[in-house]
Amino acid sequence: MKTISRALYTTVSTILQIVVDGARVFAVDALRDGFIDLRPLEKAGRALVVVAFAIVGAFILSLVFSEVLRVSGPLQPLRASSSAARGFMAPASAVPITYVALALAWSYFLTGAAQTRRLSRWLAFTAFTLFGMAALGNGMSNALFNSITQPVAVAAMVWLIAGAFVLLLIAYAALPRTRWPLAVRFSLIATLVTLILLPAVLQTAMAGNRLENQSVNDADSLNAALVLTRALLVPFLLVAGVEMYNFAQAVSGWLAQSTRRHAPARISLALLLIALVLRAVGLAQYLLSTPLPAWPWLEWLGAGLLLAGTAIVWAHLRRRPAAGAVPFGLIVGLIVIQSAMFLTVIPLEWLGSFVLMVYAGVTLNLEVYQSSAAALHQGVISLSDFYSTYALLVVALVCVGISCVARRRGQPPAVALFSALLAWSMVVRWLTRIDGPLAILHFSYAHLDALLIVVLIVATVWLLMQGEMTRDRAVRLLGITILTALLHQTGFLDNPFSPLFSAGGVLLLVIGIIWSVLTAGGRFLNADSAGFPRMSRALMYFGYIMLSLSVAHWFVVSHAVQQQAAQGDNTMLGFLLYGLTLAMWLLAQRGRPLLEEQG
Amino acid sequence: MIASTVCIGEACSAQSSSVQVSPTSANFTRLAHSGWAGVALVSLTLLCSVVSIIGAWWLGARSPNQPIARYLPTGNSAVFHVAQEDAGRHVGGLSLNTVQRNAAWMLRQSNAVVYTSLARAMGLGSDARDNLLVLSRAGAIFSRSVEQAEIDGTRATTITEDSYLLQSDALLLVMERASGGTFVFVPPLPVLRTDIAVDQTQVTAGVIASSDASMELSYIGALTLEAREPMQFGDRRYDDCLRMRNSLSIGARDTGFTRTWYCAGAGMVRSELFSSDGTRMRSWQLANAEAIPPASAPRMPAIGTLLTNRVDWRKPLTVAWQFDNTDGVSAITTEPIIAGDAVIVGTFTGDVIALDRNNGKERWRYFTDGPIFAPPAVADGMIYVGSGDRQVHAIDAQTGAFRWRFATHDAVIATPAVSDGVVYAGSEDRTLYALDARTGALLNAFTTGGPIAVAPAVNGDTVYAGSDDGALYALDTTDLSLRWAFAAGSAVASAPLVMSGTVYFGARDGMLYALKADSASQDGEVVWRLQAREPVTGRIQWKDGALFAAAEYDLISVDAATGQLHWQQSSDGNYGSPLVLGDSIFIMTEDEIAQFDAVSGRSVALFAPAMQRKYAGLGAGSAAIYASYANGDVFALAP
Repeated sequence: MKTISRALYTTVSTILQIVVDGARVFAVDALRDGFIDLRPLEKAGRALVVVAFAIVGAFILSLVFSEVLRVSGPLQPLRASSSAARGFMAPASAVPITYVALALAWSYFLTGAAQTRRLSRWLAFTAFTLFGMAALGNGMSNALFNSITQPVAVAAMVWLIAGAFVLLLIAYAALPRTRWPLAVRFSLIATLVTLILLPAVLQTAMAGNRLENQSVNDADSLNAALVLTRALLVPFLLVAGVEMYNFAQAVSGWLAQSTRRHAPARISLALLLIALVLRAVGLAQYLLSTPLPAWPWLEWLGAGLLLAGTAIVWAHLRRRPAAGAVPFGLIVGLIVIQSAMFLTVIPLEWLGSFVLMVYAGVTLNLEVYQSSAAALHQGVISLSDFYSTYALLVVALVCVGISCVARRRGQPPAVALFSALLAWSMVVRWLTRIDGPLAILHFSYAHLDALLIVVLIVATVWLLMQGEMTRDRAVRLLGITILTALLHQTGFLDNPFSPLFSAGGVLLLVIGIIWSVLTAGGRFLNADSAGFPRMSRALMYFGYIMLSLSVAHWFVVSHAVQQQAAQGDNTMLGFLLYGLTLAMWLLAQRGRPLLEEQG
Repeated sequence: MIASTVCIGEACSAQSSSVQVSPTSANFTRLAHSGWAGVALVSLTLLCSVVSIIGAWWLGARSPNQPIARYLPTGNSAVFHVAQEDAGRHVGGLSLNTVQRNAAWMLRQSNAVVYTSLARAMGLGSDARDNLLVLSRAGAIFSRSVEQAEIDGTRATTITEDSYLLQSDALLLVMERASGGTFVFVPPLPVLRTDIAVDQTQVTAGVIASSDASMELSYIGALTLEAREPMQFGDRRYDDCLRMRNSLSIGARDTGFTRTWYCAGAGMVRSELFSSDGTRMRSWQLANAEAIPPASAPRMPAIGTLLTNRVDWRKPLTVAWQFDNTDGVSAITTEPIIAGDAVIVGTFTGDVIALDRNNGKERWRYFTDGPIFAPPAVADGMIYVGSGDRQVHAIDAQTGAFRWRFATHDAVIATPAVSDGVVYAGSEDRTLYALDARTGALLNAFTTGGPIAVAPAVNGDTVYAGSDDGALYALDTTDLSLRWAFAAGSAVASAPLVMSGTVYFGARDGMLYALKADSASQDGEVVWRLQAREPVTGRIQWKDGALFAAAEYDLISVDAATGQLHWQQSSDGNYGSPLVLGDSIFIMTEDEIAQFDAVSGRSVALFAPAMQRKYAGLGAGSAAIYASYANGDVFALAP
């Protein structure tokens, strides 16, 4: 009895030690390392960061209490078609709030980017031109065709925008050569950005005035601009999906290491078995309650296809265990390629429309505008349809190319093998997508998860039967089991009871943002380099956060369900395409990185 | 000479360099580099950005300041008791529905005679188009009154539509449309002024012209502000009221005068009609600004009894009539529905329009104060419609008279359901309301986790409501208590359809779900689920054991019992909601109406009644289908 009590005590205390140690590393250390250090910044820079913090805080509050905005003031109609996506009406007060956030976000972003190296500097300005400028393109072009707005007024607005834009371009190009203090640079850019946005603000406000009774599309201008801005966020959302995997890997890594530090072999094995049983219970319940013919055999076959690629890499790595780490830049690069359609085609249509609109505004030749805009729109639709269908294959081809080049140049096997695995993953996803050639094998993560549980159980039993279950292997298997359990929790992204607009969903979003802001310092804000100074990092980061928040906030307060879902879908896509492939990569390495990276 | 740096944090501190600057510039630069000046400049810039954006917003959004507007609340509906003076008894009721628009809208609805009247009042030139911008800035009030009263033993319904020009301190009657015809006052006749002193009279002389200018009569109107006084009506007291006296002589005939009380925040609260000799003949007194039980609404045939099977829908469709919503800015936003012998559509500007089914002529128009995004429900001679003005409105289907309205906390964008004298209306305030169909009184309410944006469905003693929180709720109709709730993968995107003990609905996760209607489980019981390529939105149709639904650019036919896909048709653009007529499926695409064979899914025909336009929806009558478009057109198409 005493022996059992002691064993129980030892086990419980070990588990406690593992959890406390993991939590300490996860929460306390990450927060301590992640705080943004304002001390090296000049006073104006600190003031800008503090203001950004205040705006982020205000947006977070508004997200939590978004319904108050709708209930307490007038609603502005946005869409003229009930067959369109949801988001018919937004609180009128949200319109100026969003414009202010957009103006400040772009001002921060451009001021920060202006002092970085040339490539990132001009990429940032291009992003503003394609996405930020679109905030006014739609409203202005609609105003042009509005029979009750004077063409002269439209022309005046166009000239104001064009003038401010040219000045901004000149200032932006000249700023890196000047020695003006940050406050002056920021003031200059913020003033010009605000001037560019002002006509759009006026136009949207007039559309919201029911007495004006203007063309219904005018009211949609801000909405359309934010939908467009969301396209800019697509790569970030895809990366966020990858970060979900990274987060899960970090947590399972910490717990695995903590287990290795504190738990003897027997307890490690016991924990592994407990974890496997816990994971298997849900699956067993499902299988027992479902008749055999109704089991998702085809879906499992699809998921098995994905695992088959992993098995090949696993077999390859058995001969060469030291693969090295997968560069994060490789994934980001591929994500950018995948997002090329969103990043170029759609904004190019807006830019084209804007140029046509300027032409029409100056020449008052509306016929040319109408015919050209229709042709442009049709072309973009065709192109985006084509790209939507084949984007995964394009990325797969690029991956194959990277794999071949990396192998030929003798780079670490990680690059070549991971690229090959990713190519396989993309091809399987393309084949089994819902309208793909093998749509019958379409599967979700839940189906893959079921197979993974089976694989882990088989591996554990096999190792035990062979007498090859070492403590190290038990800990790695435990880490992988915890990882699959954590990945299984990604369901919150499309969980009906916690979408962004429900209390739980908003809390998740809010906690995610707060966590992201609080730990931003540890990731890159506290770093410094000549090509990417610390102040620029801070301004660009907060500019981006404000941009993201203004978009998310708008979709929440306007009840734009489809747009909210699209945000979650992109994150889920990033997780399924890249995060899961990273998980497969970890599996192929038999969980080694779980112990190595933190070691 | 001072040390100057690029000053981007520590990295740049090493890039110090020396430059020669003027003393003034040196002071500025020193100040800027001292830190606090930079903080001040940044603060000032941020403040200016915020103030300029909010200022531009305020400039664009504000309405002209019209002191008189407080006596004329916008989007107002009210019910008046009508009393016959000689008998001193209540003889009927009058419902008044008013809305504020702009004068350009009035002009788009009318003709040159109206412009002449407006031009006289506003001092404009002769070309209406040149002055469209000016007119678009001028306020206008439209009111429609429906009086149902028993006069001299005869029960009569009198409908009067008035168009007023709203100036900063005057309300001028421009046009009056009644059973006798449409008449325009040139110049407009003042009916309310706030800029004249008590007992002061303003006399206006002009002509009353018929709308086609075929007839003209001279008129002389006299408007007197008799008093500024408080008024007490029942338990409500109005402190700021104007008592106006309007007398009117047409030709040589003195038509008598009216005495009307306008109260701030309430509008017209009482009006009395006097003969030329000063005898009070009738009076109208505000009964309720929110509701009145319908007096004796005529019953109408239920929609489900339409005999569509007798029509050969395989014959080519031809346009029977076309309605053009001529105001030009008022997009039609709902699919047409049939209410007796009328076709009803809703608009973005908040109008419910009833068209004659036979010829497409406008029969009546009811104004709400917000956009209408879902077709109304029709039951027992009443029309129930949700509006972006956050209210559910009940309207008499025959006359368009206001009956009651119920205020929720957010926009009502879903069609209500009506069953057994109860209206079930979902609101974006997350609540499903059960209202008394006769009075609008709140009976029960059930709050979900998200906005309710799809129509509820009633089957027996259960009402099914889908919510943006991703759940389909089955509620007891007696008290709206929860029977079960099923969690779909995402927000519910289509109205539930209940057939043969099964509830069918689509969600934004792309799934089409079939659940047991009388599930014993609190979580609902799935019969089957089908993964579509895109979310199933809009209306699901059922015929002979098959479901028909549109999932954006796919039209699918599914076995209602097993969920097996029968067939699927795809389009380049999004589909509207399908309509099953005979053995055909009609559905709108971006530029045409497609007809498919219901069994095989084979394309039968394509119709393009209009140029490429954004569609609003399809509705069916006994011998025609009705297609509405966002540009304001409605077509009746008959085989």
